[in-house]
Amino acid sequence: MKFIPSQFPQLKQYENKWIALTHPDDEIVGSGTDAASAIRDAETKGYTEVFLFKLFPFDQLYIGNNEV
Amino acid sequence: MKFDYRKVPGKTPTAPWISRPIIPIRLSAGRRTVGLDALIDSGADSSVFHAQVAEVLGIDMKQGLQQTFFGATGEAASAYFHEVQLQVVGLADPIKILAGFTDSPGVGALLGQADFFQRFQVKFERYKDQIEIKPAKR
Repeated sequence: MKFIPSQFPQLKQYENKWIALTHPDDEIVGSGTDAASAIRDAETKGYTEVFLFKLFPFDQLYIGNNEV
Repeated sequence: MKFDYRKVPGKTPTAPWISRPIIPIRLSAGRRTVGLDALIDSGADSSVFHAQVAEVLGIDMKQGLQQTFFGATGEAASAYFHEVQLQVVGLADPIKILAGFTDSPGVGALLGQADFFQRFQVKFERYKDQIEIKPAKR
């Protein structure tokens, strides 16, 4: 699944999780509640070169490290 | 190297996505490497990553030098600093940085002033939705 606005309903499942993205295509190829499990999820699908991204809650803005 | 701002979902399906200066990097320790999409945070004193990133890199987080830090709320939290290698995707040479690791839930991957801004020229062009990163020339 592409990480793009038209996918918003499907992206909700990844809220507050780590996602594993391909570059430069921004395809979500793995996810997990922790970084290691997102990598493992991507690896089981054959993706070894991924970039992890923590997807924070969609209803919160970032102002510095606001959830310390 | 130029990067587009990364857009992240807004509050509702129809809310505009939020642009943030997030770039792809690789962080390495020993023989392990992890790819991350990291937020360039010019207001952060240091680069800080979540504790789970330390786990992936095989770093025993709490063996590092402990440092207290605070965020916008003013509440204190701990980070533990370790030397790691950082490579901006698309740039040739990795650099050594002292990176903090914390289990604070508000931290994913942040690139801050110490090391990152000292070693790279960072040009924010939000009006173009573009960030330019170059190795700094002294």
